[in-house]
Parts: sequence; C-alpha cells; structure tokens
Amino acid sequence: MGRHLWILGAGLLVLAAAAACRPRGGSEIAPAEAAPGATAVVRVPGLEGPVQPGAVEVTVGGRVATVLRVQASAGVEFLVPEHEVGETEVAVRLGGRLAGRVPFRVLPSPARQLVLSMTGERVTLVASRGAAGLDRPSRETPVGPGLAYDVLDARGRLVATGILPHPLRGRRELFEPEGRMHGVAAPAAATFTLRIPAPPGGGVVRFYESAPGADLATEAGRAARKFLSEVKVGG
Amino acid sequence: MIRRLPIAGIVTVLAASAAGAAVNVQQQPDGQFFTAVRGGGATALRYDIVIVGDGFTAAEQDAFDDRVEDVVAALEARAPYSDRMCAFNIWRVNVVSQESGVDHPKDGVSKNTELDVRYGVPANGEAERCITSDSPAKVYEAAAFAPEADAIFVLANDSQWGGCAGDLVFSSIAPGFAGIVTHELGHKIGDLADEYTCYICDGSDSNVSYTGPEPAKPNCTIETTRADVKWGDLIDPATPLPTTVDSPPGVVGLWEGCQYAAQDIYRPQAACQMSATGSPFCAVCNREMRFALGAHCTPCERADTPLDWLLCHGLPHTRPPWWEILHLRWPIPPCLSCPPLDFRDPLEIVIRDLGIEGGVTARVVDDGGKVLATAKQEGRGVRIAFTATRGASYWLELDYPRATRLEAALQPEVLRQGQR
Repeated sequence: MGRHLWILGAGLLVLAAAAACRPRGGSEIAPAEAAPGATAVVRVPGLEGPVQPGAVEVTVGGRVATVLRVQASAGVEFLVPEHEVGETEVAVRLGGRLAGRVPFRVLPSPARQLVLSMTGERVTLVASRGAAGLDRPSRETPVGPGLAYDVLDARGRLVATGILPHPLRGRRELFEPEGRMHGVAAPAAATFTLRIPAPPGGGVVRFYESAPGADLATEAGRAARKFLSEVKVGG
Repeated sequence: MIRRLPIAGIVTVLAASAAGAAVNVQQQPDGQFFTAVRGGGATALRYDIVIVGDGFTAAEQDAFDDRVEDVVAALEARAPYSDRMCAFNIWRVNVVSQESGVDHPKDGVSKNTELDVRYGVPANGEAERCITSDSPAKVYEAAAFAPEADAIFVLANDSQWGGCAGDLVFSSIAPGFAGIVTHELGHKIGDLADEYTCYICDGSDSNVSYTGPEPAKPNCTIETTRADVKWGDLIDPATPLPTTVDSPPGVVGLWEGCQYAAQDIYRPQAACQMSATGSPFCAVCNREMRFALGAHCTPCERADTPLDWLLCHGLPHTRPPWWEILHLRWPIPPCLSCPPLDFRDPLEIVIRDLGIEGGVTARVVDDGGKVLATAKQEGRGVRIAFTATRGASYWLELDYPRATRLEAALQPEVLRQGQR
C-alpha cells in the first residue's frame, strides 16, 4: 500500500512538473525559437485590458528582455537578449505578477562580432560576442593599403573573405569647431571591430595586408596579399 | 542603482589588456544596463547606434541623457535621417565615472574616469582636439551592454571643442558636437567618401592631384562626361562640366576636389555634409544615404510614395464606412521604391498581424498568375517562403474567410528565409 502511495505521489509530481512546463492559460509565442537580437511576440492572459508598457516585464531564461511594443490584441513584442543556446522559458509579468510563461528555444547567433587590437603586424583578439548580422561591405578605397581577412572553419575551409580600412594606415578624422575636418596620422596601435559569419565549431581569422586598389576577387589579387597574423574564434 | 558588472557570458574577454576591465554602468529602472532611446526592432534589421559617456559622475547622468537627446535631435533635424529614423535602434549606456570631465594632458589635468578618455598630446605629435581613449577595450566593453553596436559614439564630458573618429567616434559636448555624429554615420551607413580636398590640411598637401582609378565610393568621380558620371542623372543638361558657378546655390555638377585631393577628382556639389558638418547632405549623398537607411526599415516604415503610404497605413483609416476586405494584393517588394529583391536566397514574406484570429490564406503568384507558394495563417500572422527569379514580377495575395474590418495596417516584410 505504501509503495502504491509513493508511486501515486511520484506520478502526481511528474504531472505537476509537466503542467508547469506547458504554456499556461493560453500563453503563446511566435516564433518559438530565435537568436539573440531577433524579435518575438508573446501573448499572455491579462493583456486584453489597458496595460502600461512599463508594467510589462519579459524574461528569457531569467534575463530581462527589452520590450519593444505592447498591444492588447497582438501581444508583447520583445528583443531576444543574449542567452546560451538551447531550450529555455519566456516569462511575462504584468505589474509584477506572473501572467504566463512559454517554452522557447534560443538559436545560435548567425554572426560574431570581434573586438581586435593591432600593433605592428600583429592582430590579437580582445573580445567576441554573438551578433545578429554582418556589416555592410565597404567599397574599396584607393587611399592606402587595406587589412584583408579570411575566415576559415574548424576544417580549414574558407567561410568568408573581406577587407577593412587598415587600422594603422587608414583614415582617421579630426573635427574642427567651425565644421571643417581633416585627417590625422593613425595611431601606432588600434582597436577595431569586425563581424564575421559564425563558423560552426569555431575557426580562424587570418589577416593580410593588401595593396591599394588590389582586386581581391581574383586569385592574383589574393595571392599578392601579405600574411600578417591570425586569431582563433569560437563558434 | 549602480553596479560594476563583469560581462562574462556576454563578452569573452581574452586579452590581458582587458582583464579585469569591468565597467561601471548604471542599472536602469527596468533592470537593464542600457536604455532604448529610439527605435525598437530586431538588431539584424536596424542600424544600432550605441552612445556611451565618459567623465560623467553619478550625479551627472541626467546631463549625459540630455546630450544623448541632442544627438537624436540632430539626426531628426538632418535629412535624410529625419525621414528615415525607422532605420535606427539608438541605445544609451550610462557609464559612471568617479570624477567629472576628462584628461587634458597638455595642461596637466588628469581625471579618474571610467573609459580613460583624453584630449591629444601635442608633445607626442597629436592634435589636442583629437579626443581618444587610452583604454579602447573598455569602450567596447561598455558598448557591449547594449544589444548590438553597429556604431559606437563616446561623449566626453568636457565643453572644450574636440572630436576624432576612427572605428570609435569621440567628441566633447561643446556646441555643435552632434554634427560629428551625422557626418560619421555618412561613412558608416552610406559608405560615403570624405569630400574635403586635403588630408592633413596644414598647407603641405593643399594642391594634391588624384592619380588613382575611379573611386568606388558613390560621391567622388574622375569621369568628366555626363554619361559616365555616377550621378549624371542628377546633373542639369545646361550645367557646364566641370562646374565652377554655384548659382543658385546647390548646383549639382562636377566640382573639383574630393577624397583628400584638390585636382583631377570631382564631387557632386560645392557644399556637402561630407566636407563640412554644418552643410546638409548633397543630393548624391542624400540619395545614397536614403537608400542605405531604407534597408534598415520595413517596407511600410519606408512608405516612399503616396501609394505605398495608402497601402501600408492609409486604407484602414481612409476606407468608406462600408469598406471591408476580402482580398488583398501587394506587389513584391511591397512598395514602389523598395530595394530590389535578393535573388541569392529563398525569401520569406512575413505579416505579423493579419487583423483577425484565423482562416487567412496567403499565396505568392508571378505576373503570369502562376502560384509559387501558399501558406495558411498561423496565430495572428503568416509566413510564406519562395525563391525569386531575376526578371520576374511577384505578387502577394491574401484571401480573408469573411469580410473583415482591419483595426491596424498590415505590414508585409520581405526577409531572407529564416532571417527573423
């Protein structure tokens, strides 16, 4: 008898846990999975009446999300915050009270933003984080050499290639009070950012110096690049 | 509340130079360590500006907030930003310094500030007006508190004029500082060239001749015939080339001097934001910026033509009392001057809210009436994917199950599949 009660109690606990994981009271979310930086819309009971935007709090796995819009009919639109990849839960609080929660899956960021430092010919990685998108490619400039780069995945396959204004030889701009401006000498060391497609499983970014006006779309142009250094990046 | 937070999990600090470089950032009432000043949209779509301050004490954070509003006001007052504010997420990160103001090494003034911002050191060959940071990694770290950073602006709490731009953009808060922001965004968003005619401009390079190939930037050219000039469509046939007379002011032509050279290269107008921060954008830069900014807005936010506006915003408000919809049809792209379709990847059209609870059917048809894709309403919205072919025209059609009065404008967005 005692064993039966124990099994019954365990079963009730499992059912209670399962119920806690399911959407409550008609809560729903679309899309049900997204990467940090994307938007999602969650609907919970209690939004039908007048709701002040400041009274709505959305958390993703416990991390506060930026609420973009609150509409009684459409739900709460929010920005998916930085969060580890995987299954988690979106919770909505109205006026401090839990109004609903729904399962949510955080997808990997499609890109990575690298903060890099360059001294002489050496480029080092200062920091990196997931990014929602890539930079608009800059048109080549005939002024000075460029800093070209290749992104290779863990197997050494070329994932992306591109070119930046050279951090140590490129444009640096000084502003005068009356609205004029002109260039100044670039510093001996520079910190700059670069966004790359996130190589699955990590990879390497190789940096090269390219001659002014070099056509990196051709094999000859790529072969003429001078290798400088490389940094390892996470996936 | 003020917290000194390590940002493990957000930014992986790898270099010794940044080790222990936790930045003192003020927590906002909503629990975040940043504030959405303007905008609000997916960071993959929007252009994300992050503004951080240095030399603002805890008691001066309201003053920093006001200076950020000055930046926003400058954008709202300068075309084409003014009618393309939909492009931006503007994030503010309130960095709290121990002391007010920043370093003036030339005068022996040193302040304990969070981002180590300083004026230039003439003894080291730097212009004093060139503001920079001795700890740029801290600046990036502070900006990393915001959801995304396409451009980072650092405002130094100092009233002496100064401004300098590389990957990071620094300025003091002297009157007129916001012009630095509007100019630099011309580089960062529009990929525009500088139009001034010398680089160092100390007299040593005032008559440089350009000797390179045709610049790839849209606002400088070495071509001298109207048919070959990138902005030839904007030049009046009566305007002489090269152009030397600016009457009435604003003549679009070929003005000698651009991209740090005074000769053998041309710019579109005598004055432009890309040569002086007090000037408006010239017609060519304006067009380029407008296009580039538009890519960060949804089609209905752009709404470039009266028809776009009517389709996106006007119908629910201008319909006669009996007007109800059963069937809607949009061209794809859904506005007349939207950027052309991207043919490389499958596209997805997303409408977040169809205005009713269910039963709407969507389909994409080509100009011959062939149905390429269909989708049923899911939740309040619909997603429909298809692959476009260059040279064909496409339409999005919606069938409602019953006559429906929409309470909000429908907003179709064309995205690459899986983008959002």
